Amino acid sequence: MKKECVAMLLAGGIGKRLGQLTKDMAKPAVPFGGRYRIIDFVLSNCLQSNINTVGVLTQYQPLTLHKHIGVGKPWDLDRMDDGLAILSPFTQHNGGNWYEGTADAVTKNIHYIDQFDPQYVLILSGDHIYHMDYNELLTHHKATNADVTISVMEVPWKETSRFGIIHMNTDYEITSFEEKPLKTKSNLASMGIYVFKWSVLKECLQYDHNNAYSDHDFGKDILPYMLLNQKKMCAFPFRGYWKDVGTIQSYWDAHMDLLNGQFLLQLDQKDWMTYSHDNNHPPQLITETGSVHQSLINNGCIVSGMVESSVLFENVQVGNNSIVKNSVLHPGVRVGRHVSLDRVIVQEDVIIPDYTNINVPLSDEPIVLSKEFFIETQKVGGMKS
Amino acid sequence: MNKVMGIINLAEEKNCLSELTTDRCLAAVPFAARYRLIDFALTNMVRSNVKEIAIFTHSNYRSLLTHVGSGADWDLNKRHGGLYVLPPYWQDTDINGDIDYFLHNWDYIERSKAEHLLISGSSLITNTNFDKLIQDHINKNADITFLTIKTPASPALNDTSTFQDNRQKALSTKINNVTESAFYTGIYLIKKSCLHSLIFSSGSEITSNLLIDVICSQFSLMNVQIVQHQGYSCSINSIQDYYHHSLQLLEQKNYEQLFQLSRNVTTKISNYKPAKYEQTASVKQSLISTGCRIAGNVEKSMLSRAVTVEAGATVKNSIILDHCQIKSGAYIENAIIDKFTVLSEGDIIIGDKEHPHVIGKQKNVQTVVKK
Repeated sequence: MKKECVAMLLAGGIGKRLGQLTKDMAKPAVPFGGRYRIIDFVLSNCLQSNINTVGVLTQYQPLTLHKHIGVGKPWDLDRMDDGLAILSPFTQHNGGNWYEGTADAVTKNIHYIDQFDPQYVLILSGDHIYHMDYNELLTHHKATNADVTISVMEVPWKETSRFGIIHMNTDYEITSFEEKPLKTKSNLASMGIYVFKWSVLKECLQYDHNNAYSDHDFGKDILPYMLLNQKKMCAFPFRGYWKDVGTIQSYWDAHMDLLNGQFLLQLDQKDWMTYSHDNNHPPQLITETGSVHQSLINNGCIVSGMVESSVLFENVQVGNNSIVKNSVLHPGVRVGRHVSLDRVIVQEDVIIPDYTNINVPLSDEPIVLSKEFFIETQKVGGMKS
Repeated sequence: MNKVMGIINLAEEKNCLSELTTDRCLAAVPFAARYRLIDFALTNMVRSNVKEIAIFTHSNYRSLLTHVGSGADWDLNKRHGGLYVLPPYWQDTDINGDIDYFLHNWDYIERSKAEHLLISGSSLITNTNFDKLIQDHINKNADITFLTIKTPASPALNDTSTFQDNRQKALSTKINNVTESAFYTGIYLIKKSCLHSLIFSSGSEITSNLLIDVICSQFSLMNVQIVQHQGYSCSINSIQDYYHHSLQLLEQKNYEQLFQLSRNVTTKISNYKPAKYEQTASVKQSLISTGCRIAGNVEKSMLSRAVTVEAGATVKNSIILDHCQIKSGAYIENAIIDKFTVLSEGDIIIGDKEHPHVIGKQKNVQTVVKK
């Protein structure tokens, strides 16, 4: 079956800087925005862009992720001939290996891509929050007749040191890269979204595979190699909200953006819906004693306390006389009575005992409350202030 | 246990909820901010491993069909079993009663491997499973087993309508050796062979178009059993029932009884974002669904999916269905507002506590209504 474009979605990363949040699940599976998981945004983009052949490359802690995406039904990717395929590392007659880098993951699945004989391969990352029509990128790629097109966006000048920075000429042709420069003449950052001519990429991957000194990474190895070999590389400037929620602070910030309405990404945009699973929880109940302001609350919640500037995922309960402020509560969290929480992220199914008091000052990074956290604090005699 | 097939029998249900049932049948009426009445019957059956379900539709079933679709949201689009919508026989211009449905669709019922039929309407709201009903029915080799409740589920069951009366009387005489009272719920399990003989062999003796009445008239010849239903239930037979039972779910105790944890009621999935509460929102004792945006006052009310309440708007003791917009300056008390209605500044709607004011679908109200 021939397809013009096949998407390969990188979803196997560890997401180390998210610490406790990615201890038991891959970063794309981390809950986001009150009902989603991070990967929902890119899968919904695929649906809206009519990209319906998607290989999802998984490796690190894939159980939650696999369970969530299943056969891709929420995104209409459960199709007869193509659709979604989960591509995990596998063994062969001569043994087998883990994916040793983003490029290596694709190299090990060349046979998956080849069955569709595509002209283009779209490389996506499963850990970004954004809305994007990939057809615009593809159209740009065709118009410039590039070998690879990299989606870029302007970032604040003081933040260039956090990104891979790209320099281009007036024809969108890329002239050089810089990895996390402190001072530079461009503020165009690579978004980790690329479209390649498959014939060119395949050749580069095969070369890279045999290069003992390579880390087999798209950003570090494949793209510099292409520049060196004078392949035609273009940039596609993207305007809109895009966020790599790579740290606890940026994860928390993104949720506050959502509440303040500064998030340009509108979750209820009718022409660009974000799809996810639905667990069929009943509607939320705000009881007589409950009060909610500036918050997002999902199905199945029972709120008897006060909730301010917070995001509550499904099936969360907040007891009488408790105050939850500036916090993100993952599915199934139980907040007891007389509890005070400020600037915390509470993980799935954690039970917060009565009279717990955890308020993180503005100067500190928000903290993640896990099941282990409460076991630890019990050992040292409780964390009550 | 594929010995049982389900029939959701809407043939004898009256469209009795005033404006709410002008465009849709009772089974398709939205309930509890997220569901439609039929969801409860469907969920309970699927949960009891009844996975082949037919729906006898009668009138105004467009929104019902859109809602149930292929049955996928109830896991009914599988190789085994499935959901079958059986509309009225088009040549019968004057269909009344459900016996015709059984007769016309007997080939379908006959083909099924099921030995028993679980028959239910859509008006009883409960979140349960029928395992005990099915088990008892089979163990006692019953012809018919009724699921009954201790207290009448609805005042309407006490009315003097002769059908209700006769059924209850027949049921009571049959079970007069039972110490506690048992009331009819419209849910019963019947042996396929028994159903066959009731509707075919006694052709000349059939005095009613309704299967239940034929059953009642033959009580003495059959092994009839009852199983008492435990747990929360209510029945929707009038707009007062609807309003009253809806608002009762705002009591946490009732809410928790109906929507027990780990026993979710299944419905058609939508994809709205979580409900958004703005800084100016004041929400007390209310049931809120996804996609809502609230900036105004909401008290003892129920908001279905994607309802907007602007700052300076008030909703009290009311039920607001999907996609309504309550704009700044609107005031609503003791009312039921159907889908897609827009209420703006100066719209004041105040109904009576016993007789809520009902506004039909998609109205652009520009009036002041007081009672």
